[in-house]
Amino acid sequence: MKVVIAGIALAVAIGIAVGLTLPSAREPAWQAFSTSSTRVDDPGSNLVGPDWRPEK
Amino acid sequence: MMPVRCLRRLSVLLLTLLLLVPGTLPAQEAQPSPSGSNPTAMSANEQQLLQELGKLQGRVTLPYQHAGVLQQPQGRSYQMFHEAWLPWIGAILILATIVALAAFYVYRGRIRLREGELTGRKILRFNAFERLTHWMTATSFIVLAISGLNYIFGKRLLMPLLGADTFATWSQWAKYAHNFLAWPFMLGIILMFVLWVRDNIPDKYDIPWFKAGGGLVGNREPIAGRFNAGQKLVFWSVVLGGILMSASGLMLLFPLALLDVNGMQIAQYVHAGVGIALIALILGHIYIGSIGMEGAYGAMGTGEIDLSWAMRHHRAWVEEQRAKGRIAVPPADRRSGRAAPAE
Repeated sequence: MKVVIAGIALAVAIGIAVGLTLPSAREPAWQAFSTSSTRVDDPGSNLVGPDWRPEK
Repeated sequence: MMPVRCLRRLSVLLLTLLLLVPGTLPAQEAQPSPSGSNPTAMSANEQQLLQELGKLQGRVTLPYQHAGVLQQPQGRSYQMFHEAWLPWIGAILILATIVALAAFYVYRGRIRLREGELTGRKILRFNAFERLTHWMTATSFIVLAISGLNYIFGKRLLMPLLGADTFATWSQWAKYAHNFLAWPFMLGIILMFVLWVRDNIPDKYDIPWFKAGGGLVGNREPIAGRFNAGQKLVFWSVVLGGILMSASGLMLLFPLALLDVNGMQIAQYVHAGVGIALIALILGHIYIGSIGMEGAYGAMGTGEIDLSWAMRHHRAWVEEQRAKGRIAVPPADRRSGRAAPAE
C-alpha cells in the first residue's frame, strides 16, 4: 500500500512541478489562435464574462 | 396652381425618359481583348484551389502565417466528428465494455483459487520501482481519462446537473489536471516500456494461451511466461497507444507550433479515438486486476504473490526463475500446475 500511495504522490508532485513551469513555456490557445491586434488584453479565464448564458 | 402641375408633369416625363433610355439602347457587347486572349481564363478558381490544396490560403504580413488560411473545409468534417460521431462512438464503446464485463462477471464469477490451493509461500513478482511506475502511470491515466471524458460528455451530462458556472469551474480545473498530469503519464509510458519490454516479446506460449481462452473461459489453464498473451496485448496497446496519445497531446498542448489548423484537427481525431479505445481497454485491465481474479491485485499491491497462484497463471516464468536460482521452488506437478509441498 505504501508504494501505491507513493505512486499517487509522485504523479501529483510531477503534475504540480509541471504546473509551475509549463505556463511560462507554452502559448495558450487564446494567444496561438489569434494575433495581438485582435486582443484588447489578457482575457483571463473567462472570455465572455461571468454571465455568458445566451438566454439571459 | 397651373404652373406647379405643369412642372410636376414635366418632371415625371423627364424621369420616365431617363429610365427608358438605357433600355432602348442596344446592349453593349463585351469587347474582346486586343490580343484575342482572355487573361483570366487560365487563373485558378476557388473550386480548383480547394481540390488541389484542400484549403484556400493567401499571403499575410502578420507574424502568424496560419492567419492567411481563408477556407479550410475539413473543419466541417472535424466539427461533425467532434459534436456528433465522437460522443456516440465513445459512449457506445465504453458502455459496451462495462456491460460486457458485467455479463462476464455474471457468467464466470470471480476466478478463485481452489480450496486449500494457497501454499503460503510468497514470491516477488514486481519490485518496488516497477510498482511505483505502475501506480504513478495509473493515477495519471485515471485523471486524464476522467478529465478527457469531460471534454466529450461534460457539457451533455454534467452541465445540466451542476449548472453552467459550477461546470465551467470544474472544467477549468479538469483542463489544468489534464495538461499537467499528462507528463507523469508520458514518463510512466517510457519507464514501463524499458522495464517490461523484454518480458512482453511474443513467445511460444501466446497462441496456445489464446486458444485456451486465457483460462478465463473453460477449465484449461494455459502456460505463460512472466506475462501471458492477454497482458502482452495490454502492454503493447498501452505503449503504442500511449505514444500516439503523447505525440498528439503535445501537438494540442502547443497549438500550431508544428502543425497547421488541419493538422491540429487530425491530432484531435487521433487523441480522442485512441483515448476512448485505451479507456475501454483499461476498464478490462482494472476488472481482471481487482474483482475479476482472486490474488491478481497482490502482484501490484504488495508485489508478492502466492507460489501456487504464480504456478497456475505463470508457470513458465516460475520455472525460469527457479532455474536461475532466484526463487527456491520445488518441482511442480505439471498436470495440475500445483506446486509440490514445500520440502
